[in-house]
Amino acid sequence: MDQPKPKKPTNVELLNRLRDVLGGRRVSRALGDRLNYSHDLWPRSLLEIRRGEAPYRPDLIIWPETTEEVSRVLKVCNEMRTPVVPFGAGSGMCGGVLPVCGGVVLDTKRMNHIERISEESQVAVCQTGILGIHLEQELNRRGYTMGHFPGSFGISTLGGYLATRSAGQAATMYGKIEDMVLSLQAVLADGTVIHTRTAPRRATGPDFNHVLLGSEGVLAVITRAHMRLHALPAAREFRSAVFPKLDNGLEALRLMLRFGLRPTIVRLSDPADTSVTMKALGLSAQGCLLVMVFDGRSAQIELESAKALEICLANGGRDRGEEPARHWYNHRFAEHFRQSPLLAEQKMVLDTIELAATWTNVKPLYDAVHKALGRQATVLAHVPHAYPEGCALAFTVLCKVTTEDEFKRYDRLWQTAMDAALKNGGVISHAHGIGRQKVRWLAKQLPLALPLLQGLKRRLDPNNILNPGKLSVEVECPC
Amino acid sequence: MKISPSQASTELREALTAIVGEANISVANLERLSYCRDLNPMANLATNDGRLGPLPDVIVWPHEVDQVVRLVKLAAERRVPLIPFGAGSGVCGGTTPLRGGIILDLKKMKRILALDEKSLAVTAEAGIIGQHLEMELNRQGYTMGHFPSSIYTSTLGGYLAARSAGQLSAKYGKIEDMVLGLEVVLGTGEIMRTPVAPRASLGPDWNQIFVGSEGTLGVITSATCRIRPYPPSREFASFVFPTIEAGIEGMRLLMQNELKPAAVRLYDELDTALVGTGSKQGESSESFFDSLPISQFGNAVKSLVPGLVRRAERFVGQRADLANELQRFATKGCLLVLTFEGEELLTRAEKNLATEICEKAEGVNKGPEPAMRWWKNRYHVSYGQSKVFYHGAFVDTIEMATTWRKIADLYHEIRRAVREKAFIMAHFSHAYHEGCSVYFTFVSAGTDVEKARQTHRQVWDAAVAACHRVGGAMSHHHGIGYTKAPYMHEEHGQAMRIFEALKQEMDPAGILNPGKMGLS
Amino acid sequence: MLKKFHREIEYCTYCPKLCRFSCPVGNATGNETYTPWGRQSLLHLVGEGAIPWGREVAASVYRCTTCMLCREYCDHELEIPPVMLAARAKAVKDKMQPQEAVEFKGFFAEQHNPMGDDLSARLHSLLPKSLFNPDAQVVYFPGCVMIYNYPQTIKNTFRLFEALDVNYVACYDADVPCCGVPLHDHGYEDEFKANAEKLSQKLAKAKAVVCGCPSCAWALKTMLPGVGVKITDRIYHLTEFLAPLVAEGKLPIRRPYPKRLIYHDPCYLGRYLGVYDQPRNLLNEVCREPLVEFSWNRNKSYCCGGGGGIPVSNPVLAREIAAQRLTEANEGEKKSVVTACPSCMRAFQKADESLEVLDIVDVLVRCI
Ligand SMILES: Cc1cc2nc3c(=O)[nH]c(=O)nc-3n(C[C@H](O)[C@H](O)[C@H](O)COP(=O)(O)OP(=O)(O)OC[C@H]3O[C@@H](n4cnc5c(N)ncnc54)[C@H](O)[C@@H]3O)c2cc1C
Ligand SMILES: Cc1cc2nc3c(=O)[nH]c(=O)nc-3n(C[C@H](O)[C@H](O)[C@H](O)COP(=O)(O)OP(=O)(O)OC[C@H]3O[C@@H](n4cnc5c(N)ncnc54)[C@H](O)[C@@H]3O)c2cc1C
Ligand code: SF4
Ligand code: SF4
Repeated sequence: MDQPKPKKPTNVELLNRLRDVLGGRRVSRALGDRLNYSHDLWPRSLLEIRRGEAPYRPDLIIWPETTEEVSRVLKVCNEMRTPVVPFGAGSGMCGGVLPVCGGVVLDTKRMNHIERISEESQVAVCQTGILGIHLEQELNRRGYTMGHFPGSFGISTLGGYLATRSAGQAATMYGKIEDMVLSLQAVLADGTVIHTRTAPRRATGPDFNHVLLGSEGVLAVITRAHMRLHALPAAREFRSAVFPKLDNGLEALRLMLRFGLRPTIVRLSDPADTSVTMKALGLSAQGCLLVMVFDGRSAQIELESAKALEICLANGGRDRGEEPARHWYNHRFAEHFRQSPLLAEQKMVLDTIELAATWTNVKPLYDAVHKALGRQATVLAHVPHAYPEGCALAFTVLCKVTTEDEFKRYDRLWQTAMDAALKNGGVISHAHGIGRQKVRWLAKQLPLALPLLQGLKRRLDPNNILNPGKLSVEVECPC
Repeated sequence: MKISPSQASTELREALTAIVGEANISVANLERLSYCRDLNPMANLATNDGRLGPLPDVIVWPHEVDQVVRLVKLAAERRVPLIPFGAGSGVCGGTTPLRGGIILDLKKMKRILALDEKSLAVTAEAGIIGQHLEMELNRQGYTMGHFPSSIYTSTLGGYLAARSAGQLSAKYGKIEDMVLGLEVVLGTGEIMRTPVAPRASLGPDWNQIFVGSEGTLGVITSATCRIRPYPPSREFASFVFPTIEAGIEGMRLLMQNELKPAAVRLYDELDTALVGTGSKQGESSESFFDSLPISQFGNAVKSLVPGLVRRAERFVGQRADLANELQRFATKGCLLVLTFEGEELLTRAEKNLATEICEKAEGVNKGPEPAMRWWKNRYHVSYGQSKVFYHGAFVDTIEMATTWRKIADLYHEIRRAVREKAFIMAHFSHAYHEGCSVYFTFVSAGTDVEKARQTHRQVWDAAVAACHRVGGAMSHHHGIGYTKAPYMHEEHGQAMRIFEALKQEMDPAGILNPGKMGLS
Repeated sequence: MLKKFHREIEYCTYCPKLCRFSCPVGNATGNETYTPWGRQSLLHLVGEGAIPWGREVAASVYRCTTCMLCREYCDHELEIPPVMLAARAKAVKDKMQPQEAVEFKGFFAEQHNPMGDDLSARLHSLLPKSLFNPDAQVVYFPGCVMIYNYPQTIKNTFRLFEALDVNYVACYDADVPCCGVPLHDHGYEDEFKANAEKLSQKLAKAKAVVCGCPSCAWALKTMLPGVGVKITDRIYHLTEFLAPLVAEGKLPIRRPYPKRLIYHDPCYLGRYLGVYDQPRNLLNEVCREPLVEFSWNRNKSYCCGGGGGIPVSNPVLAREIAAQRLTEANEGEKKSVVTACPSCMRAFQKADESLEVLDIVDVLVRCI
């Protein structure tokens, strides 16, 4: 992997100029901060941390509070050719915030105000550093929901969702982050503030939101967003079914969505996921467990959930009642607690590889990836999101490693999965993004994407200060 | 009429012929005339006047993506403008060859390449006419759900390039919601093929960058789009609201209750008077067609104010302020038509809920009839145009969008800004969770074409200024072309830097549809 | 290092920061380091020898209010405050503690309390002599913050006792005024123990102690035994003592409390001592308007920023945390905040001078 660049001493002039903008309290060069901002939750970085290594360290961390401050600090950094890494909550799974060239980490979390909620248009205007869960709690209090519930709901920011094109568990009903955003405010590398303008829809050129969505911090710092809200649902229904084989479950899902049903959440486990993950959450089942949640008016969701169940039964499923789905729903964030003991006590590596494919491709993709990974690790798979055209597939991989072979084995797992995905009609990421990790495979999947992005970046960020080394094969440090 | 000769050199012609073959290239004046205009009203007016132009120098009809690649490369090398052309149904001069050059007509690339029934996806070449694609899908038991009024005369590539929205967008989405994957030839001649997946996070979504690019970033050669099973059932419902505000509120409640009607359209008082809210009036589709706003404006006036009949059409154009006065007589409330489609189990439930919501919001239930009449005649409105132009007046449409909070303001402000210069009426369609679009039709005229042109420009200047004052999008689905290009910087401000950067990157030679969309 | 807490440190290091959204320090600063994950990761790296155990790392362990909210969101039920406090003690031993801590210790030593004043004298000038009885079996222990900042609440407490016909409670004679928590918070374990021993002598005759301050109650109940100091095990917070009496109808309520109140669960009363219902029951007895709840309430109550020595080591941070807690109270029609801890009251008042903050006792007294 990448070699750390030789570190330069902190630039005193930079420090002073940033302090001029932000004051002393919101600029840090403390060792502890530099370490905690040296990585995100990319499991490969966790392996490094386990060894006591943190190869990339930023020189400074800053906490602007307004768009204007972001603009001013970017101007300073641009003039001084200093890398700036936008940082939400560092919950990314692919090294999106690794400060590969050192420089400044710009933490957005002090930009966490909900500026306005328009009840009539059901739109919230919000700074991007707010944690998803805080935003949702506040909206709930006022009778609304944004409907975005990634597994990382409590540990990630709105800006992170936008920058990585996140998708939440309720995507089937409420859409993915790109379906929730109306407009954005962002700051370009030279400090220029741009706005996309709010309208329910427009035909005035390409949707510029989409240049920023998924830009993973390399084009601009996103500072504010207008987000679509929904009234909190009046009622909720839970349904569960088990299928003898994954095919049956997939077919049931496909037919449900084709019929026009709109479940809020569907989650289908393969046999291993059913017996391990679901069991860990306290659910005992065999086969492939499907949990479903329906939100809305009670008459409507009774109708829809009954139809959904009917489709399950017609496709070899057995009705498991409400309880498994309800239980899963109430404990659904608990699965992430498994990581600590596995890494701390068992010398494991653990990661999630999430892909997506059309219904036509999904089973062959599952088979190929499962088979290839199965030789190297324990593999648990589930369908976290489904759409009328296809679904996402998430493979949880875990295996025991030694200090000597851990990186080799980790990298091999990914190489295997990505090769299989590329060969079998899958996309290499459904929602987590590219970061530092998947650049090589993006180059295979969408060969023009990287040169185009780099070209675009050269024009919007000629000094390459914004998140260098991300969405890019080369690591060209600006300094 | 004098036609300036084609500027295409023999050498260029030969090079083009070498790519597409003799049969697929033309420099004939006849063709050059046909391809010099789309359906923007000023072009129509100019046609009336016999003044046409600018003209393209050559038209080519490629059959294969490889040919497109070679054509683009050739154009880039020679720095000759290249204008992708679908069916020329655009209404803002998107295909006008402002600087001459090559028209790249895609209509011979019209094959349906794949129908993935399991994944509900169709892949087709960009030049296929919307109605052809839809008919073929229907035959196989599917629908794309994309029904612009221009469906008979527009192409898949045009939909994507111009960010089109169909009448049933509330259920099926707009064109950007349908696209799963694209094949695009960039201005460099490189081919970008985006992977087909229900969803991905692979950096910015390139599909969405080409949607709406109106031929300035690349030539869309084929696309994979979402389709749905052909709906087994349809339901219709209609309501009359006492005021436009009440009607808007009704629409808002429908959408914010997570309903997914197929069509949602609310007519303002005058539009309503013309469409007719009673189920008796206009039993047959014939007479309904006759009572539609533009086509039968004269008839409408007849039924309202006897004595103004004969001069109606001219009158509308030249005495706009007076015509607007007529609206007061026309006030009968505002008609909302709704349709639902899909599985019967769902459509019936949706209709019942919608009825409950509308009735609670002061809507008087008019039964299915008015909505069914709209449905039967939904494409007919466009035929009315000819009559207006025939009488020397012109008609144009302004479709804007904003959030619910501002939509009534937008409606009133635009009318106020325009009413001195044109007769204007409106309906609201394309409803969303957070707002909707408002679609104005204005009719006006000038003593001569130049005056008409001035009036037209003044109307647009005033309307866009009002739109920006209130806060909204100056186009909901017609796009920019060159007629709205002067407003692009006002619309987007510094965000235009993104567009400029995309343009420079994807079309470094600046040959793709130059002079459009406010790009430098 | 900190072997005893190996599990905590390692688990947090590899945890996807799952409780981070609850940590008041993390939320107020926006800094990754001041989350359970961040501080523990540094301790892990120190343990791995990757970074030195120095002042910078030590400073980070001082940024915890010890509110214990994170535990409520940790499926492993890890408790971070003991790790932070142990690390602070180590910092003190290794002379790595922040300058504020050193200064605080000096200040404390002057009067054996964190207020820098003779609190015993203050208390004696406040209450009649008859209320002090060195041989009493039931002792009211007001706590330093209460004596220094809220003398009226102490007076009110005795008025309540009187109204309830409770004549057997004597006021603690505050010559060892402090429970020692502030020393412990700053990492001074030895000093805490010395203070604890003196305290236990003063309370040797008490069969039961009723505390005005939840952290005093927690200290007497568990921390003193924790360092091997003996004391009666019948330790109560005042609300625990009052609730049954009021429930029996012993309080002569003349007029209901008229204003809308929002109740703040103090961390030490709630998560540490497990007392959630008694304060609510007391208030519901006397309030005309239904009690308003914060959306973070009971075991999920949000911290006021007043704990863990934060107001001393980082007053700006303390105010920021308090301000975040108060947004709901100040929303719409401003509500008065009622709580049962003088430190919380102090923290709120420092953040918002215009806010009315009350102890439950003050509310009860106004109704008799
Ligand atoms: C346990 C767990 C479960 C997860 N589950 C899901 C899931 O269900 N769905 C899902 O989509 N993801 C999931 N993720 C991945 C991750 O949470 C998301 O990618 C999330 O969007 C990252 O948000 P963040 O605020 O932590 O961003 P960070 O990790 O801080 O940053 C991510 C990237 O975005 C950039 N960035 C952040 N903020 C801004 C900004 N304001 N402007 C410009 N660029 C910015 C950064 O530079 C970086 O490139 C999960 C992660 C974990 C650990
Ligand atoms: C009567 C009438 C009714 C209409 N109703 C609607 C409606 O309901 N909804 C709606 O959205 N629009 C409507 N329109 C507008 C118009 O039909 C749409 O804009 C349509 O999408 C244009 O398609 P086209 O194939 O005719 O494109 P053209 O007019 O040929 O081209 C439009 C633009 O797209 C570019 N372009 C075309 N094909 C390609 C390609 N393959 N690659 C790259 N660029 C390309 C052109 O260069 C041009 O800039 C209506 C128009 C008329 C005349
Ligand atoms: S306390 Fe628990 S939830 Fe919080 S970081 Fe540690 S292990 Fe994770
Ligand atoms: S005890 Fe409170 S302040 Fe300390 S880490 Fe936990 S939540 Fe944060």
